[in-house]
Amino acid sequence: MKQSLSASGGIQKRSSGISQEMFRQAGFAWTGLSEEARLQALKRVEQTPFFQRLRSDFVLYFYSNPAIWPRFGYEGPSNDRGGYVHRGFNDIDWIKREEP
Amino acid sequence: MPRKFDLDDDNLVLIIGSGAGGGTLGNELAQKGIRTLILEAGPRIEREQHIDDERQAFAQLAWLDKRTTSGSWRLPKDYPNFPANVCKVVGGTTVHWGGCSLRVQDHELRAKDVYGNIAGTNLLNWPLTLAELEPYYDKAEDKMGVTGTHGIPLLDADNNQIVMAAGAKKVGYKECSTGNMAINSRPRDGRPATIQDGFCFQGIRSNVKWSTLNTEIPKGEATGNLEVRPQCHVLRIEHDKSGRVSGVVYADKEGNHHLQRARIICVAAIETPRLLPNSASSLYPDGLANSSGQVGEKLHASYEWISVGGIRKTRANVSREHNGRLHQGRTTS
Repeated sequence: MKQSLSASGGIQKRSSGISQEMFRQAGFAWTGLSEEARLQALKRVEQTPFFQRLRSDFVLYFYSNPAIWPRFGYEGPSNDRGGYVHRGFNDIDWIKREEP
Repeated sequence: MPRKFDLDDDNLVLIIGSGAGGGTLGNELAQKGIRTLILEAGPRIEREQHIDDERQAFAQLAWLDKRTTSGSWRLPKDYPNFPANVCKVVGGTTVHWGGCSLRVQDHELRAKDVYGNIAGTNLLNWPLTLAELEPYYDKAEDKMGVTGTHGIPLLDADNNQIVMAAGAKKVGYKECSTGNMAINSRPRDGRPATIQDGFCFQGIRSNVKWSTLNTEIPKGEATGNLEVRPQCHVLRIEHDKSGRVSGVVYADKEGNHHLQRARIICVAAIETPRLLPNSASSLYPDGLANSSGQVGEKLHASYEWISVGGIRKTRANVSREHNGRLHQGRTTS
């Protein structure tokens, strides 16, 4: 998503319909907003192509980030370490195994 | 010395596409001494170059040329320019597929008998019965090394599948196994056994899953009768005045067009429904092989049910006494 800066340093109006003022309010004052206010700000833009593109890209890049994986127990690629066949691929012990 | 056919050499069979159909046919013909050329639109990415990362593998292997889809079904709304996730590489989508190797069922071959006339469809019965296909399924399962056939053991269940099997039993399923998979459970056909790394969708880095890239194509090339020519995107099929095919026009990676002659042309490409109408001429105004008028018109698919769920217990929040590593795992058929 390309953003261009006008001579005044602000963000130009996009055809997606986000007004400069709305973005300024949401963006520059973001850290001062309550959780509820942030939610409302996002809801105001959630139907826009800008938000939808940002959301789908965020999901993709968030879950592709190796730094995030340990946070939810995902171990990632292992080909260079011989896979998981000897490193616990079936070591689950909190559920009963069913016969095939 | 790898085989390289001249553009003017028409004493060959030309196959468009190097995937499941094209790669396999190419090898079978080469084994019989038939001069065979496979034109593949995509590049040749060898398994050592495959990347065990979803996003990067997608960028490397997927058919990313813009497509369009339309109609009242859901796909044009969600993915108007990406209606199908297929590959554009030597090996085709056999590089990406998960290896699920289920046989078609009898009722799927007799859709018209089973479902009758449904508005908006053109249901037909296949001109083949399941009984007629069975010997060939048998050969294919042996060729590919499908688990649960030909004495090949089923794959061991990983953590994901153990959870799934418990859930399946709970909701009343009587059968739940790791299924028929073209993935080695033991070393076979010069390829190793699975190391359970969970990235079958991202290529064949471990060389365990069957793909034409690591089986049919190298075997065919070893005969000296097969050439696989990558980055040759076929645009049209040409024919002579009598209506017999004579060759194809393809674009190379620089976008230059070339005419490759051939005696026999086999269409085995994912884009065949586009290629045949694009080959229309004054003699064949509706495109090639289209006396039915149906080419490129209707969707034919086998539908699968996919369950997606979250597993709450993870390494992050289980006590030290519990295990349950959640690597990516493998799809099960």
